[in-house]
Amino acid sequence: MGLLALGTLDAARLQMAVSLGFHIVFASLGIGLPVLLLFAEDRAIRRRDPVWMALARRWSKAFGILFAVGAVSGTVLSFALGLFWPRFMGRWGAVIGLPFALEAFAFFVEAIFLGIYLYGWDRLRPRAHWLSGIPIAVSGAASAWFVVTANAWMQSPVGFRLRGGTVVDVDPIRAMLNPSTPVMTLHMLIAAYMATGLAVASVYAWGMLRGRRDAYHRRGLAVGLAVGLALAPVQILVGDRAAKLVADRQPVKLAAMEGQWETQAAAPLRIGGIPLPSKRRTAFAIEIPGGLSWLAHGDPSAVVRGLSSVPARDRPNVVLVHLAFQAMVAAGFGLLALGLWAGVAVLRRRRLPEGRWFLRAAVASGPAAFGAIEAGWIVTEVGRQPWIVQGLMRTAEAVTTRPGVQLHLAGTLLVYALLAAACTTLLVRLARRPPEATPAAVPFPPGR
Amino acid sequence: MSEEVAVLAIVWAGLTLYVLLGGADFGGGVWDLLATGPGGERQRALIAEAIGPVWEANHVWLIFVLTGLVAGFPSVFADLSSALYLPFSLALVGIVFRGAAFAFRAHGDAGSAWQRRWTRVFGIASLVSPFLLGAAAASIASGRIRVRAGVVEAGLVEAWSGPLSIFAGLFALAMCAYLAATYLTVEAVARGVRDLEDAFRARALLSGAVAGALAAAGLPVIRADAPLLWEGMLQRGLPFVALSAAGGIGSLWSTARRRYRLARLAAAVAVGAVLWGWGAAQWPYLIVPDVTAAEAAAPARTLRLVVVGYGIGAVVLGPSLWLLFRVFKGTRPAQS
Repeated sequence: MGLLALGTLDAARLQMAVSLGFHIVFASLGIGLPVLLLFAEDRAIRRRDPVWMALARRWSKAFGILFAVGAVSGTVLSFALGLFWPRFMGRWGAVIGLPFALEAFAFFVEAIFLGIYLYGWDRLRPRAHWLSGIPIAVSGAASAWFVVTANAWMQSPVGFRLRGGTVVDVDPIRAMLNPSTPVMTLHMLIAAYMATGLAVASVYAWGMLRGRRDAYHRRGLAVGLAVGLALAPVQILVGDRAAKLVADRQPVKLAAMEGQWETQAAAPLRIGGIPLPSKRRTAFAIEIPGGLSWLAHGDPSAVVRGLSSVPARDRPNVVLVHLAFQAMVAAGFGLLALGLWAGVAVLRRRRLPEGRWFLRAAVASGPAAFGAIEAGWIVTEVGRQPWIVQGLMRTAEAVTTRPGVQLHLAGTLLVYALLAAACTTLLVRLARRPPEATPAAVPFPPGR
Repeated sequence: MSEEVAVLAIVWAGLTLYVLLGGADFGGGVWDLLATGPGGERQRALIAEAIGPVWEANHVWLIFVLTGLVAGFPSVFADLSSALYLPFSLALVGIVFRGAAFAFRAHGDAGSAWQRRWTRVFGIASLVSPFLLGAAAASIASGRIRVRAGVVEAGLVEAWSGPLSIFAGLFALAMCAYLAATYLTVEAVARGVRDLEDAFRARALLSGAVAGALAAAGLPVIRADAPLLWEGMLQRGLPFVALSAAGGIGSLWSTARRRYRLARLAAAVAVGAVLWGWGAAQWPYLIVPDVTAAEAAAPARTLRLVVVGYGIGAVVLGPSLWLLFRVFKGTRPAQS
């Protein structure tokens, strides 16, 4: 197998990419689903509405499966930081350990109230049960915020001084509130809500395409799309702020995202295109003159640093970063367009379109949103290379000296493939089952 | 009290709760694996009902310990991750499969091949993880992990396969099974099911006796394999050893007398005292014999923030946990 021929560094990076890429799907759903659940259950209680209750009950089941996989894959990550990057954790742990420690509390509250919520349907009064969902939503968001602050610090390391190579004057609060924190955490949280909403919409759009055009499916589709598409324009604005931040703090990453090889004034914005490292240019892109200078620095004639401003060993994988960035942006604008389509229809006819093409687009929106999350993290993480801590520690300096990372990677791929298959099987079965066949058909569990 | 002692005490308390709560969930998996015969399915159902609402919260104690180490003793986290790369990786596989299998089987059709398969996975994973975590934990006391001039040296397998580690792995497994069986007697009584009460009473007595015998057998192993730990045990550790023995005997006695709530408390004391006795015995070392707590601690400012963070967190966590256990583990009449 080719995997086993990888060097330790590449294997460890790929291992991390697989672990994070897997976990982020479940983590995002864990952030978004409680909000949808709270909405549906509130409607169900307030209007004594069995359809909303059926939706809430169904999502609660799916949430139970998804949260379990999210919890264990998150545990893998907390070990992985030490297993694969011991020198990173050993050197910088005192600076960025605090958000991890606080995240444990957020995760705690999430897990505790999840237990109450999932198993409390028949034990709590309806309103008490609904209330137990609120801490899940709050701590899910808090959890994401803490973890992303730690990552933001890797992009913008502050909150300490170096004296002769030793880390001194550590200020963990300043490290948490580093310049990248506000925008990155917001960008990720919005992405999680969008992706969850659109994934839910995908499921019900699929059902409607298969002819199940009942109130249950219509409402599931509407709630999902409303959350996912309403946030699309906001996310594009936040994404713009994120890119400006990268332009300021990580100009080489920005150059890789945009396929900008040379430092130049009035740099064009490239849409699409393929960077050609051997020719040091980006081919086949649609170029908007001065566009990049304007987007990055607010002035169409501003100078934008190119990849050639640093030696080749200090550049990330340009092809991967550029393509991932283009994919994320394309998904974002695609979702904006779908939002306009839905929005115009709702304004004109007071209801969502139900044509085949609209439903097909809705089916595609969930995978597109998750694809955008994956692509965004590729941009963030691969774009920071060769650094694990921007400008201060190289990824190669941080990696473990232990042998056998390749085997670990192969094992992880195997285990995660199995989990993904099992999880998908269960969720598909759950989605296919008509709402009446579940206890959800009982509108109100007897209170005690 | 200095900051690093405070953080370490909090982390150690977290570890204790992980063993008492998360460990019992692993033990539930062990009894699930061993459940056979006509009563087997009923035992499994009771185990699943008891674990279901709480296992994820119980599992977070492990994350709590890890992140506490990262924040408070980053170099220890890094050194142990390097030294115990293999057992941690394998234990993780177990942890992943245990949690996933538990959720997966709950959503399968009753009696289906799907459910049987994931039930088996759940049981085996519950056996593997506590053993490996126990073995890994003991290796830090055995002197097989050396840290010289900031560089960790440890055999990939040798570090955690010494006599003390093997003993500790088995002992951990026995403690998990014993805790689970003891807790499950209370669950059975709360549901008014006499046959399950008897089944887990017998299992609690058996596994408690095994754990006690292992503890006694372990003393010479510690003496031979970890002299520094042995020395500490004879001094600072002695009260904990006595407490653990008293708890163990008390819990067996109250189980035999069918006073299960008392037995549950005594069993928790017995197991908790093992952990605190271990900690006291190897103090002031975090990794025997090269790394002390004071040397490995993060700067005082970080430690103070961690303590403050934990204080604030506890205000939220305490009532939440109370609520969780109140809803699912409180005294209540058997439901119809």
